[in-house]
Amino acid sequence: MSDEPLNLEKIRARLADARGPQYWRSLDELAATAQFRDFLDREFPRQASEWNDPSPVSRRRFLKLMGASLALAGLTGCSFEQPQEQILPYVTKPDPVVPGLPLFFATAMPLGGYATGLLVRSNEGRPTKVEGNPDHPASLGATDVYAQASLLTLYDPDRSQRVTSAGQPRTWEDFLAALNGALTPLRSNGGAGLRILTEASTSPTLAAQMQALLTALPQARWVAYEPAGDSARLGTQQAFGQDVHPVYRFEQGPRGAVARRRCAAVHAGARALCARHRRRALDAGRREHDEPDLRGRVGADDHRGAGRPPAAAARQRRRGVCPRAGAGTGRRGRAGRGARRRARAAGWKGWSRICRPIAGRALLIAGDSQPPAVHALAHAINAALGNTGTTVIYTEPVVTSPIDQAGGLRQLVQEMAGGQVQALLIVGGNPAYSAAADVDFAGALKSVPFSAHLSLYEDETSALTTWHIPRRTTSSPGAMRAPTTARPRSSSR
Amino acid sequence: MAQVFGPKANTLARLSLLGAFGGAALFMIALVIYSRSPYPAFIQKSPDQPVPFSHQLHAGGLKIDCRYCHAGVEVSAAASVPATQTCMTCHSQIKTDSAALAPVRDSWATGQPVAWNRVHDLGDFAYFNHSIHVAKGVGCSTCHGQVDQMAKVQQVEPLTMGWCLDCHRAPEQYIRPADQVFNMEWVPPADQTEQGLKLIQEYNIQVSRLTNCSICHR
Repeated sequence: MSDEPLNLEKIRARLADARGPQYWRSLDELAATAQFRDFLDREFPRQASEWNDPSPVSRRRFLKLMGASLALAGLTGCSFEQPQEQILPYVTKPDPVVPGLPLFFATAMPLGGYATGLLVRSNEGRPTKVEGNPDHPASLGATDVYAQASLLTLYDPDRSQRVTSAGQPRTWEDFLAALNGALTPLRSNGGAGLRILTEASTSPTLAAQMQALLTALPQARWVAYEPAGDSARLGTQQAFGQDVHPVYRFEQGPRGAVARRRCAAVHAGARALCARHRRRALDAGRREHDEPDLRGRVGADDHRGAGRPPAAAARQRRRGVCPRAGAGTGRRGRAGRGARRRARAAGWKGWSRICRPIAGRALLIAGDSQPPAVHALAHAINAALGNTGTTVIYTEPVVTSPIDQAGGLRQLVQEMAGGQVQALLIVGGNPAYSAAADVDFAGALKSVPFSAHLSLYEDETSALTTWHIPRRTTSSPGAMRAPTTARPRSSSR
Repeated sequence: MAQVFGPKANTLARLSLLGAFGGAALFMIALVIYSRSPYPAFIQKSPDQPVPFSHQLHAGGLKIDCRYCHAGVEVSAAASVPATQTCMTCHSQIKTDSAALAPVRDSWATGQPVAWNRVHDLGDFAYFNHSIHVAKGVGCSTCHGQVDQMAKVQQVEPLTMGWCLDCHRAPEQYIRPADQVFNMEWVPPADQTEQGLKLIQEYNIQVSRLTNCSICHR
């Protein structure tokens, strides 16, 4: 830094006079040559706040200058001209698309296995809004919160985007290789050790494919687990001894539709649905009879009546007041069956006065969250009121996946914990999270050597399985069916 | 002690004070006048395009109808610039070696769109719908000028809000019969007002609603 040689004598003399430790960064500093001082002043002005070079600038002036700069900086926003925009047209415009006009695509989305008819609005290929499909008999153009929210699922940045294994991204080919490796030994013993866990499904295609698989590998099992429960199916099974599907004909009962539903999410918006059906029926020219409306308005939710067991309901019926099923926590099994037997055997006071006039035009539906016994009771009441065949008909089952007989998942978990499961394929759902508290699915997963989870998100189950595959769409594999699409049975049930 | 300020200092002080305020006021007025004039809005805007497309040749000389390319103008809010496919309907066989058309051929080959520079650009705060204007008798040349005589598209009208309101307040001065909408040579007849009023009745134009803010500022 300095051109002249350092005067070591001077430095030594300086240090000799020092008392205590002396610190220096370089010999030039120690030598304190004029050149070094110059350099230091330029490099590190000792009194920058006063800004002595070239003219005195006080802090006041400094602040004034900076304040003015800040204020005037806003001027850059003033512009009379807009920035140049570009127009990027299609290279090959798809025929039905008119830029600026939306297209509506008819589609469906599954909820609890059942399909909801939807019209999805698409602006230049981007889905922007979900509407109901007015031609679909199950919804008549209504949607629920899940359908509306499904649009956001399409754009959700948290959705998983790659195949992972133990947290590491892998390729699809890697997964296929691992899957093959896990399944090959199982083919020799008829698939014992292979379990496929799905959600409830109404897809005939999936059912056919699973049937083919189970025929080829007879020891494998297909388990369906729906977290919301299978009470409705179990209830009909209890009532009729076989798996049937009730189809409710709201339009048959223009005013007496008794729908005590507890906000069942699967059957979207019962209130609105009943109102739509009623409006449709009224538009079709039916006239209302001038009779007292016994059980309240169409589609009224039952928020009262919590804690009324079916036995009490049966007592009420005997007193001539038709009961409201949808009681909160009915006792299962014995009391339910007993109530049903009593109901069938009892003679009812006031039956001819109250219930007979509405027979055949009333409808009783138990909420989906009710225990199976209450569902069975509701079917019994409908049968007793003579509603079958008019307001409710029973068809072949729409849901094609196996009934989750309370023990379905429990049994699977037991097998998993017992080491009997070598390959577990989980299609959709999040059983590690949604299984009942006393069913240790998450723990049992550790005993399964190969497990794969197909899902939209990397969720609790994906974290525990050996493979996670991102799901591309929310729709189900194969077709879906809505609650009202099945053909009616030929019998007079 | 000598006076610092001479006798003229008072006059100077008063004059400079007046001058300062007066100057500021004049400046503001000038600014307002300038900003409300057409000049800052469009300054005869005619940006260069990646392909030197000539409307004079295609629409004027070859008499290709506007709607062959700008297909959405009667149904959609956006008139839309044609897709590369539309250009290739002719230029896959005509002038296939032209250097000027190279970007079009490249776009067709690679699938990347041709990046046209927008000429008529309203602010994003204003919504404009072509289809309603075309349906109610506003011709193309009323707003875009005689495009079929432009070798290079140029904005000839300011497209300011005031300019739009001139028509919205008195549409009878500007609208034309439906069959003349795409006629670039149309000029308003001598009795335009009378004809215009008849057309307003015919097209069922609610003039009182045309000055509603939310028809454009949604």
